[in-house]
Amino acid sequence: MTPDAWTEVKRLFHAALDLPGPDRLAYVRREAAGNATLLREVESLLAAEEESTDFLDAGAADYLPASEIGRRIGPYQIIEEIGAGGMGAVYLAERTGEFRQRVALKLIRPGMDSGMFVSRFHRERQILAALDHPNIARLLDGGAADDGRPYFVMEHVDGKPLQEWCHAHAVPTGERLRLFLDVCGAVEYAHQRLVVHRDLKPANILVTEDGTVKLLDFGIAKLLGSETASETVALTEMGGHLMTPEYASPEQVRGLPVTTATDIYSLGVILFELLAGRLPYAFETRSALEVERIVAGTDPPFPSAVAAVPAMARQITGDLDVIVLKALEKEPARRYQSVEQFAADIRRHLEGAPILARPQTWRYRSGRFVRRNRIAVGAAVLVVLSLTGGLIASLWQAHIARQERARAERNFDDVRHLAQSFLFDFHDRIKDLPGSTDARNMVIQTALDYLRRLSQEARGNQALSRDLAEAWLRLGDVQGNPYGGNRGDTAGAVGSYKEALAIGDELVRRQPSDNAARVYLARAHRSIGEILPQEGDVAGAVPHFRAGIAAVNGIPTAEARLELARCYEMLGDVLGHGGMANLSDPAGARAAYEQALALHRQAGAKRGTAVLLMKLGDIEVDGGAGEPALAHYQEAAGIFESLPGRREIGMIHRKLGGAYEALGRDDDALREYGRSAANGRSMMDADPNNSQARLDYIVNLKTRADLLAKRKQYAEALPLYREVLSILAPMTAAQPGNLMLRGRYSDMLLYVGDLLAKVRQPAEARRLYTEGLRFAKQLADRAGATPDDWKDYANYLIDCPIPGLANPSEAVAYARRAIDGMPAGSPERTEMEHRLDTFQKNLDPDSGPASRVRREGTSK
Amino acid sequence: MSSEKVTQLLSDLAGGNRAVVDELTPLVYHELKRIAGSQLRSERPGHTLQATALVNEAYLKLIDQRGVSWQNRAHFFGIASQMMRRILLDYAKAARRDKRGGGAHKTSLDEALVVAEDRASDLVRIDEALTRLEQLDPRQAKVVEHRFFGGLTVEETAEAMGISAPTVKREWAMARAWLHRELGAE
Repeated sequence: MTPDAWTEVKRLFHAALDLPGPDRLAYVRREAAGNATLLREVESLLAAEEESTDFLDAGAADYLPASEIGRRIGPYQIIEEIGAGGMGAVYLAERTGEFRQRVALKLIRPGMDSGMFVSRFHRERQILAALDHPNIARLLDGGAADDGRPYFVMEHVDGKPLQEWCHAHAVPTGERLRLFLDVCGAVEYAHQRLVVHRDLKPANILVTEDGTVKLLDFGIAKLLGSETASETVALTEMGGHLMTPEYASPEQVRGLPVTTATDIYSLGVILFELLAGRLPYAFETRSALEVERIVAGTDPPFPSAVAAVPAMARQITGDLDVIVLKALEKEPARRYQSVEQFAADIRRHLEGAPILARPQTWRYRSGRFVRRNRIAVGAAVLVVLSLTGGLIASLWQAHIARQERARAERNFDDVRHLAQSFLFDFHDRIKDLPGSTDARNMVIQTALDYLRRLSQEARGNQALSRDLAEAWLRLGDVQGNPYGGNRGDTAGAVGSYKEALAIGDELVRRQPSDNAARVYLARAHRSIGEILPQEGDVAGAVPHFRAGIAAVNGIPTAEARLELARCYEMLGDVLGHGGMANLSDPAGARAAYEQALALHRQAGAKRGTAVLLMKLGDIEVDGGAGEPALAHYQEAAGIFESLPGRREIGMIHRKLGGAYEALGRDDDALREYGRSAANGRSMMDADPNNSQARLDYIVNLKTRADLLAKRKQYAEALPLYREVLSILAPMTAAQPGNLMLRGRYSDMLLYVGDLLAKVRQPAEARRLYTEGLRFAKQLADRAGATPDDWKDYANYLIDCPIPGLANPSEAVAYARRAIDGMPAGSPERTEMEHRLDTFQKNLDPDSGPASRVRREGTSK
Repeated sequence: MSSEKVTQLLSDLAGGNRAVVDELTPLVYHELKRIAGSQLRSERPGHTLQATALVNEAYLKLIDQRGVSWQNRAHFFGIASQMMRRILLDYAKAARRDKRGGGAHKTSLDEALVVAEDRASDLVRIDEALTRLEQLDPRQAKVVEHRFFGGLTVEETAEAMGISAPTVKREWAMARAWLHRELGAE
């Protein structure tokens, strides 16, 4: 709003407020006649004024949480809060009187002292009472406060969280493992008493100054077999929230039954973090859907591959990688069968005996790779946006010209045609440009505005209504359809789809034989169904897909049958495809996929047939049915081979390789990965300018190389990595402005450099590292570099395995810069501060034996 | 710095010398933060913090009571409002962060997710909306800062800002409506 406009709003608002209530609106309407914006603004402010009589009266301080500090609860006086949650808080308290004693007192929050919460509270107390173990904080007392709220009292543990304690005391790997074994002992003890903790994480495991481990907080623990049916339902409903995503198991995030295997998984995450110094997964939004997608749907990296400190990485490569990943298996049945077995394998490792766990199906994926891409993609988007902005400007002028003509001639069809050209021609042309989302949104909105104005002039025009439905569907797509570039506005998208749904409903009602309208109706239902899982409502999608199926079932047109197949396919996805949030109904998914498959087969749609075969295979791989999956994948591969597009060929062979790898058939896996690479090679040769093909080829090569490296066949892996580099080098040189490419190249150089250092090829390692660091520095020094760029560069310097190559003061400078640029208190910042701290401690000659960095720094 | 000196600065301010604000600010801020911290931590079990009481305590501590006028007090409170906004926001953000699991020493934070709305987040949203109002109308935003964050009465606000009490009332009514609408639209 301009200052003048605001002054005008203010004048009118105050003048109106001076009048008696009933006269205000009439006055404002008279005064603002002819100025719709002003009228709307003042009207809405007057309405808000009426509703806001008590608003802000309480004062800002009233919005802060109340304090219990200083209260007396039974014989205890509360000293300070040491932990808080929605249900209650834990306080440090002191028993007064004869036996002075410091304790931890858990008190339920005012207003939460009813029903389910109280029963949970008592359950925790009951569980604690049953546990008497030196590594579990003991229950001492309990009762009700003056106001009737229940409380209980536990042993107060004066210690630090496990991870922090290890960090602060620079505990070496062997010692970390022994502390971890103590944790295992306590969890095993609880399991023997039929108690599952369900919320194991370093914050719940304290280590006292003398090195004793104490397990805390059985707040969401479960007594196996003791729950009544209604409690089970309540806990399951809340189950999705009552956990810490970083340490939650796939079955927890999917709301499936929790067993002792859940604790084993969480212990696996804790061990991962203890060894690697970071967590297996990172979340951006921590939304239920993201957590589920990542925890249940992606493989964790090798702890050694992401270890924060290279020395640590060397110690955990091998046995410990295998042990951790065994505990992190997605399927509870594939994890260690008991904490005791888990602990026993760690003891075997400590004693140098062979461990029992066998390597499973892990593929190395470089987190750095992906993260780096994200930044570069962001930059690319900006460039494209500025380009399409220009296009739109000229189109806009053309459209103004046309608009005037249309008005002059009152040419209805002309305007409709213009809207259509916005909606179809222009939109479809920019659709596949990366970063064109905002431009598409603008284009569709424009078309929509036209169509709505036209529809006011011509109500009941069936063709125009169809155009409108199309426009709403497309607007919904660009606002938030998960299967394409979108603006992340899921609520807006659902709104748009519902508009399309209403139009489709109306059209079908008016003319039930309108098959095209039925297809719109099905499309609208399907689109809503596609978006609901994004908002965490997976089950809500099912009726929409079924409604879509009902709308087009039996219509013989090709378009309708294709839509029907899509609805079935999506239904299958939400029922049970492991690649997304699903209802864990693989049998239902299979039935839906088979319907879709039959439709595609009848239509002779080869690509659709192959995609469905692939999805059937995916379900089978997830269910552990490796053999049938192979059959489906192979048929899909055969079809893809016969089709012109070759991208899917690489993908299906990669999947075949993955299936073989899961079955432990590494040789077959290597053969398939080889085929996938060969396919990439031929695509690349066929079209040397197709950079996507080259990138695909690189990914395929790298998948193969990673399996070889995992099998320690470095001699075979290295030539593949070198080939990856030899392709990336000229691409990077030819496109100096392509940041994404530059980032990938630099990551790859450093990754291969690490590997070479590991296999003792110092000269080549040094050469690659030098170049990788040079590129990383360029990225960090460019205008518009982000704290992430500085952090990456600092980390590369800190982790550099080549003696004397990295300049420690440069590492410190970039780390500081990154820290200053990150939001205060954010986890990334804390992590970076820790890293810098450790690094500087190692640099400092007074803090112990001369560190690696220092020795290398002076040996030059 | 002696309380005579602070008192003198305050009189200068009431006399129209805005330059002394820079000298007063760090002193007042430090004192307010200290008192707020101790109130929130311990001394008032079961009660929430009262901005007015808090600023008053800082005032009594910092200002020599002999020979200061009611107007001096209003100016002191005027300066304090802006700082109270910062201090209360810091606490609100900390409370919110703890609930999201940011506090490393906290034991059981996840239960917080069961509680759908919390007031600390409301305060943060009010503050954000107020920052937008500042762009449109700095004077209205200032009135809200004094009344809502600083706990000043209409008369004290009028004195601290050098405008009339009816103007304060009018600005307050409109700002309140604007903020209410702004927050409702989110």
